[in-house]
Amino acid sequence: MDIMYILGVLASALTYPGLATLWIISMFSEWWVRKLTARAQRRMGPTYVGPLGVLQPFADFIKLLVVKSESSQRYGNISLAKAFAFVGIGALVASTLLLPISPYSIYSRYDLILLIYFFGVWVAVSEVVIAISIPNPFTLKGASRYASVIALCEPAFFLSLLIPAYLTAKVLKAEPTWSITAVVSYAPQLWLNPLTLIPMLLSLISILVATQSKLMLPPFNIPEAEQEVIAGPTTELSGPLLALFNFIHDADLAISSLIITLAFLGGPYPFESNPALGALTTIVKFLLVLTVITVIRASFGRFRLEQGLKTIVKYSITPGLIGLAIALII
Amino acid sequence: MFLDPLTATLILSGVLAFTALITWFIYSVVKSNPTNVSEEFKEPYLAGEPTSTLSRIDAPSNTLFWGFIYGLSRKLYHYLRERMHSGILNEWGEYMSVYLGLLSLIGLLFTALILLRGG
Repeated sequence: MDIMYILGVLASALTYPGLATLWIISMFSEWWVRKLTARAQRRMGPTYVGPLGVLQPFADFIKLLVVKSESSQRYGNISLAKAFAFVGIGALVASTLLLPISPYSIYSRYDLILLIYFFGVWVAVSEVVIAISIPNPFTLKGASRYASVIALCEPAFFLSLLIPAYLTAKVLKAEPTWSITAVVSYAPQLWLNPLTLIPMLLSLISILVATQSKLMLPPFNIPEAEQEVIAGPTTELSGPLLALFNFIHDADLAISSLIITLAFLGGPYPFESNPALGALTTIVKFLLVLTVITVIRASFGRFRLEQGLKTIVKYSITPGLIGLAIALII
Repeated sequence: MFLDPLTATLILSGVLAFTALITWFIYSVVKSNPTNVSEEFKEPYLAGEPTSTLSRIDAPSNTLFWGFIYGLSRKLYHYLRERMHSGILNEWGEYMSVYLGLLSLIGLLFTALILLRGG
């Protein structure tokens, strides 16, 4: 490994698929979800900035960052909140490098564990620490609710990823083992094999429910139930700090959808050999995943906390465990 | 690029630190400077209630933990509260050590299982 490779990775972390690309995809994902939700609820959604309001999330982000004042609550530790916001963004960018979408993608045996570490642990920890750095009873209540939800949905998310990883490693004997890159390469084969179809279907259901809950989207918007706890974890956030938190949340949405697109829908399949068609196929599948998430969001009211947790156990952890058991038997 | 797991971990940790640093730099350059902030803005937002309604503003650290347990399972919360919780922070530390110890044990068992099965 030479210095040029390291420089290439760092440049990739800032450009594609890193910070700049992640920012654009995140803001676009937010617009897509907001616009579709609004149309489902017979509202206009964003319309003012850009064609069909597509630049509205960008404008909101820039306004919060550049125009609004930073939080200055006297009991809060703003520096700690900012530090964890930057760590959260760093962890999200590191996660994108594990996805096989750029020439500088990193893959190794067991890189699924690295994805769990960077995308599952650091992002969730960052969001909780940002929230509790500025004390407020509503914040604390929201953060403890969020911690309760992620204690179930984060394991469920990665449990559902274990199924295609196990199947590619043990059934298809693909290399590298337990790697997200191998999963992406061989996911279409798993759907075409009648034996592996059932666990794949169960894991897809599991990951969709887990994604909905880890992103605090309805019906799992329990931590930020505005009639009960104002804005939950974000009650005390404003200005640039709120912009960073929103960015982490939107990037979480974008990367989760991208993981489902790549690991379950095969990414560029069936046009792997044609880069342009492959990229177009991946984008269409990505929008399809976002649309499914949005339809679920627009179709449900908010659950109570115990209802939400039971739903995660029933429709995410249980299908995931059954899928894994079937995969182990195969 | 195909790397061994340790090198991949080191590079990605470096990417995390590098991106965090660059984001901090961009943030410092572009963020708005604090303007005249009113006294009201410096107080916690309590939906119009004064801060005097709170017994203490900085919630004790174990509130988050007990809120988490309560959210996750009320039955477990009441059981722990009645059987174990005394309100002393050191005891909370002890519970957490036991919990993390249990998680470490499970992690070790899984590692041993994977090694025994030959990866």
